[in-house]
Amino acid sequence: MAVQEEAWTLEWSLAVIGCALIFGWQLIVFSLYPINLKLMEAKPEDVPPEPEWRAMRRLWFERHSLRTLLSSAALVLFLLSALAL
Amino acid sequence: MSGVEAAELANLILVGVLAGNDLGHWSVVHPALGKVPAHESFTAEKAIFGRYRYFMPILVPLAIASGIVVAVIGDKSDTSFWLAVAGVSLLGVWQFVVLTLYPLNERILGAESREPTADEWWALRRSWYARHTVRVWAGFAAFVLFVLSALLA
Repeated sequence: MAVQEEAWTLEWSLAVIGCALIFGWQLIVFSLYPINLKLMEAKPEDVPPEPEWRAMRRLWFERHSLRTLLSSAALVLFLLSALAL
Repeated sequence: MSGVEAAELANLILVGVLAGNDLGHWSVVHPALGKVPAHESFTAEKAIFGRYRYFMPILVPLAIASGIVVAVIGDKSDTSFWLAVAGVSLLGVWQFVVLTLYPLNERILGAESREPTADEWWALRRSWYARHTVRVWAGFAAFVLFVLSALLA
């Protein structure tokens, strides 16, 4: 969308900011890899103690909340750009 | 931004959130919960259903209402109008499927006293998931139709 729009117009700016937000989303995904890897590689007998699991999950959920906000904002910006409102 | 444009934007956000949430759960969450043991699958699905009870009764009426508003207001082309009407109809299908799922949901959420056996649970879940698949695609198709309606208005 950003490439198709005429540069420096409102629609173009909205699409570019939307892309930047999706890029931020991707950065958060990278920051989550260590936690995801730890979970994926854990064997059934490696279940962490409850406090450790809750702490890990709290950290994961905080970052996930942030990426959800970023992708939701990107959706709104892309819609505004596409509809040329 | 005019009132019609604001309504279109609100409609696309609401239906987009509904369709995106449904697709994510249909393609990732529920299949994953089909691969864990029955007790864990049941416990997790029950917790998820309980959470949706607070979320969907707000989102869905707003999505349907926004679709009706988009269809009836504004000076839009015939194509745009009928696309919006088709979108609202598909959201109606979505809601109808929900009504057919109520008995199953009640069985899952009300199973305080006796957890279903593994066989019962997988049979219940298969029936639930088949109907859920219909509503997921109805919601997704509605989103596409509302996008086309907004673009062709």
